[in-house]
Amino acid sequence: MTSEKRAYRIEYTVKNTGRTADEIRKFIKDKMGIECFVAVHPNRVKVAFSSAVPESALKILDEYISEQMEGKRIVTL
Amino acid sequence: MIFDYLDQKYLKNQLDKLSNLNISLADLRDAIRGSGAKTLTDIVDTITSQVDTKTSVIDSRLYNSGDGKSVYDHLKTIAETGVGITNFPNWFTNSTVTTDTLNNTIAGLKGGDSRTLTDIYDKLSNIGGSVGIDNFPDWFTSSTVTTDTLKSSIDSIYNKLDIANWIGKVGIGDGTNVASVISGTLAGSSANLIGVAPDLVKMYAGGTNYEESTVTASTTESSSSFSPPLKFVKITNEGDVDALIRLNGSSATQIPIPAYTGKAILFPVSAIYYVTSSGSTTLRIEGFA
Repeated sequence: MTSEKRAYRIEYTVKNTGRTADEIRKFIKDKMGIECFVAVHPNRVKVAFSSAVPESALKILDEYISEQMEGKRIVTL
Repeated sequence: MIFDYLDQKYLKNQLDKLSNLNISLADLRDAIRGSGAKTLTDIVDTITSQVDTKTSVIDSRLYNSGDGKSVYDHLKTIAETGVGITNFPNWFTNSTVTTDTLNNTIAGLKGGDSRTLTDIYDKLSNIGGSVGIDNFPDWFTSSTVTTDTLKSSIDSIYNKLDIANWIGKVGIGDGTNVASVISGTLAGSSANLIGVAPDLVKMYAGGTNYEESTVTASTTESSSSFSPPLKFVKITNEGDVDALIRLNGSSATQIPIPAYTGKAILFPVSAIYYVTSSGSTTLRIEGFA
């Protein structure tokens, strides 16, 4: 039996900055129920969670970033 | 022949008178001279010499040979010109300051209620007697709380304000990795005050809400946003082109960041807008929320 990978920090490359850090943080809080810190730059979004998040839960955020900002996760720590 | 004779009754009467002279003339002389055997000549000489001496003293008091003026001269001068008052302040001898002026000044001191010093004394005498201190807490009126107690408490607070405690309490890193400090004066003593923390991100590496990114500023304004806002931000222009930034809004006042300089911002920053006048440069953004 193997435990699911968990992440504290993730990063995405994005093609547009259609969402602000506040909007992404609110989405994470509402949909994933976890507090976090979000930084949005012209080509990159960084998210740091207050506690470890399972890989399965990150899929919700991956889809959101992909749809809203044409983003792709490139870093998972 | 005719004889002259004295009447015997008369003669006897005269002899009776002579019989009353019971001392000699020499004794009488000595008695008049007294024990000092002073003659009238001696007395006259003494009086004459004393009169001369005393008169000379009196004369020196009534007439001063130095200025050639007698008491009469001075009295005459006073009568004619008045007396100069040289040791009083100007306001006293100033002809415009009258007793009315003094009276008005005194009235001003007494105030509208015309309180005298006696009134004030009476009021002060009553303090502590009839005036109760009911509105102060017990510790204030307690005889066990002395000024020494208060000083001890103040010293305790003062010690807690020591700069070493500040670093420990605010929790910026471990208090040992501040690479650069600004010297200053705290509570009258020289101390190292936190000024710049170049290794801020490393110091905060144990937390989660930190940010360290490089972005490109060009002639088209771009932005970065943070949620929650960064409490401390350090923006360094690492390129050789001057940059302009705005904080927390695209219409905020532009702040220049010349090439190879930086800004440390000590208030919440939720967004940074950056642009250049020409060319492009790299901005390093560091901070934590």
